[in-house]
Amino acid sequence: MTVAVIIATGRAGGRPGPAPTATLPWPGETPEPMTLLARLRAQLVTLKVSDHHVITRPDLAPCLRKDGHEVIESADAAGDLREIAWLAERADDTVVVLPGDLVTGDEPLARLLLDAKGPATALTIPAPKPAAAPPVAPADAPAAEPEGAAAAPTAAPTAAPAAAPTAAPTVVPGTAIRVERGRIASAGSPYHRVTAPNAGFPGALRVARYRVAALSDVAQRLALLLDDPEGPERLVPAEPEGEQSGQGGQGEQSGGSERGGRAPEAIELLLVGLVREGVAVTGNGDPRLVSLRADGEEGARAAAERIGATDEDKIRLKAAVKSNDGFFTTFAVSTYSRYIARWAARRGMTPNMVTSISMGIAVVAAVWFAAGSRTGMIVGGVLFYFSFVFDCVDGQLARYTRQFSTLGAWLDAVFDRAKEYTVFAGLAVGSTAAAYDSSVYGGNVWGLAVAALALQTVRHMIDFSYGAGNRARAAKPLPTTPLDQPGDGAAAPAPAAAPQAQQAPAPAPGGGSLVGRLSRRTSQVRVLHWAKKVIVLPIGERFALIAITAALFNAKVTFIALLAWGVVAALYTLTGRVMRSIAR
Amino acid sequence: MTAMAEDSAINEPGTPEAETQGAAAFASRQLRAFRDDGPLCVALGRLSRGQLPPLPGAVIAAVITGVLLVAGVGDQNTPALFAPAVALLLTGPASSHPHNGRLDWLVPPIIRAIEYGYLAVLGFAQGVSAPLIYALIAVLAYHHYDTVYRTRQRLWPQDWVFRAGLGWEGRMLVVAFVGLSGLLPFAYAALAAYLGVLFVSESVTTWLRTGRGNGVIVDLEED
Repeated sequence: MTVAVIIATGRAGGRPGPAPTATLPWPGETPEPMTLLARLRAQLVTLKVSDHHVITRPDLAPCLRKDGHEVIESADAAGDLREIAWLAERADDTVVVLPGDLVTGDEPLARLLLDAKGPATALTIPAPKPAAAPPVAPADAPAAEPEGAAAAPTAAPTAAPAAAPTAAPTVVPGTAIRVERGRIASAGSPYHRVTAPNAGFPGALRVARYRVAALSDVAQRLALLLDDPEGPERLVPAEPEGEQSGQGGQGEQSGGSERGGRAPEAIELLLVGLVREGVAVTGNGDPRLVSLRADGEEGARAAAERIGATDEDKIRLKAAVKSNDGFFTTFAVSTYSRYIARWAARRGMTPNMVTSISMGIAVVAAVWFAAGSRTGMIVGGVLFYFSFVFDCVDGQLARYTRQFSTLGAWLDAVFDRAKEYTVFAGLAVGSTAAAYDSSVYGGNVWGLAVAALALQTVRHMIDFSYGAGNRARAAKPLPTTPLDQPGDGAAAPAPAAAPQAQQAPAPAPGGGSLVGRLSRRTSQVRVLHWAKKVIVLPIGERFALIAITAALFNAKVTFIALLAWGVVAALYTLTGRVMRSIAR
Repeated sequence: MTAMAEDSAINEPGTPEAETQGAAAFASRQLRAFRDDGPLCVALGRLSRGQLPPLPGAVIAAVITGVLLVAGVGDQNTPALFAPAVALLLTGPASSHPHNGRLDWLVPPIIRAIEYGYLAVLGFAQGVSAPLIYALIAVLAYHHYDTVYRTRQRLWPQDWVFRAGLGWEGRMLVVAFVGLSGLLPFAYAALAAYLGVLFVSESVTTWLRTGRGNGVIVDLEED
């Protein structure tokens, strides 16, 4: 069972006596008044996380106990880390660490707890794109200035004197981090500087069961470092206090309170530790969703207002549509299929039911194709299109309702193939069944049908095999950075490199090779981007090609078109992949 | 269906080093499963003790098979018999070698092209009913897709399934020899029926047994 460790050590200002920020009232609409902590715990329980451990300071503990929370007392961040290490060691499952004053919607937490894959995931808040200043160019310029090696320029548009991030457009709530290609490349704390931060970390961190041991180790090491400031390894403040105060880029809290020289927090140190130890921490961030930490009633109210104004259902529905689909799928199906998915969800349909409906429609389409009449071909084509629509809906429904199963994934994949190959057979039957003088008559096309079946299967095998070999190569160990080093090492040799690396657009399977560069370059042009997707004849294009050519012409035309396009696609992908493999 | 949660069941790597090594070993094991070798290939692989890299033999086998098929399987029986034997001798000994080379991912699709191409050309040349050829290749395609989808979720098919399926080389040899006696349509029908029952029943029972367990986020949708 997933274990939640809630760090409720934040102090609320403007209250008589010591009060944790976690006990601030939740200003949103609830049947009964509740504190932020109570709300967060209720949210976790709905996500099936009911094993909670709340850590707080001794003077804040009575306030939390009064509200009925069982708490663990610890004197400082080192104590928090030791408690976390101990809890992680005993946990036999996923561990999530959250701040008690986290104010967020249900969707970000669901994404963190239910959708996230991989060893570790952190909620992130992407910095809004600076509108006025182009992100790269100005940052390059000051790089020529003689700066300390570790003090690389931030993404700030103005020249930054050493070690002081300027009042940047990258003001983000939470601790500064840098996300590169979805992975957190560097995380900040009062002791750890982030080169070119581009996102914030509000403090929610999930570590999968098979990495919990690393979490425990890192927490213990950090606690030792904090306890022994004079040891051989020591944590030194990343910035002089005076320079940091009032700066927006790093170590800022949501409420904008001044945090110069603030005390370190356990969660931010944990993230730094995991990232620097080479654990792959995925950043889960969506600029449309709200995750903030409340430092006072004002901050809590602002966060609640923003959550109230967010249509999480709409965002979830939109996110259920795969983003990297082909041209036909994107423009002729995905534009509306999600509304069918939502309708199906409200009817209580399961993804497997939709998959079966799609398969059923395809079988009916094949029967119509087999009739060998023009009407049959047109009806078959239309039905085949809708079979494809429902094929997209099942996945969207699964993602929207978070209903995943191994059986469902297999059923979806196998039925996809079965639909196509059943329709091939139907077309071949119809071609000879048609009247000799009708336009539907294509003669005996079984040879073409066999060729199309063999070609498509071999093409898929190329994809699968290449994917298998590629995945093995992608798993390179991540770089590690010493915990007691203030800089993150990203820009040490050449300060200008970091912002550029961060701007590198696509996840690049081709690496720095010529093919890889060519591939990325062409993908930036919109027309070429789609042309490259269309040429490989993906599933949407295949279904459309079959439906249209069958409805307008006959099976012979369909198969010849499929074979010709398929051969071009196979040669195109083979050439590119062989070159990539050699260049690697 | 449970709203997933546990990915640890499939992705349970240990240390970073083990993760990298594990990924390479996993990929190699996957590629070798995709080959769908039968008992003969495995035996030849054992003889060579994994000393031969897989790609060169596969490429040569593909070229030779292509030439033999174009040269005409229909006119005489020699090429028809020749092709499976050549393909087996060229690719079998390398079946035990790790498939970790840069281009070793080409081997399984090459073997598929050889197998499907041979079965299609031989069947049409010797007058096997076209729907029967289509059915046999569709059954094989089912098995090959199923292998891919299963290994991704680490539901490895048992060794006996590959053995009972005769492997690509076994199937080619069976039709080649039966073709000599003029009973080829019977061989296609028998193979399609036997393999269809074998592959479909085995895979469906496995999936029903394991698929009901807790859900896992996997996106198997392919282009």
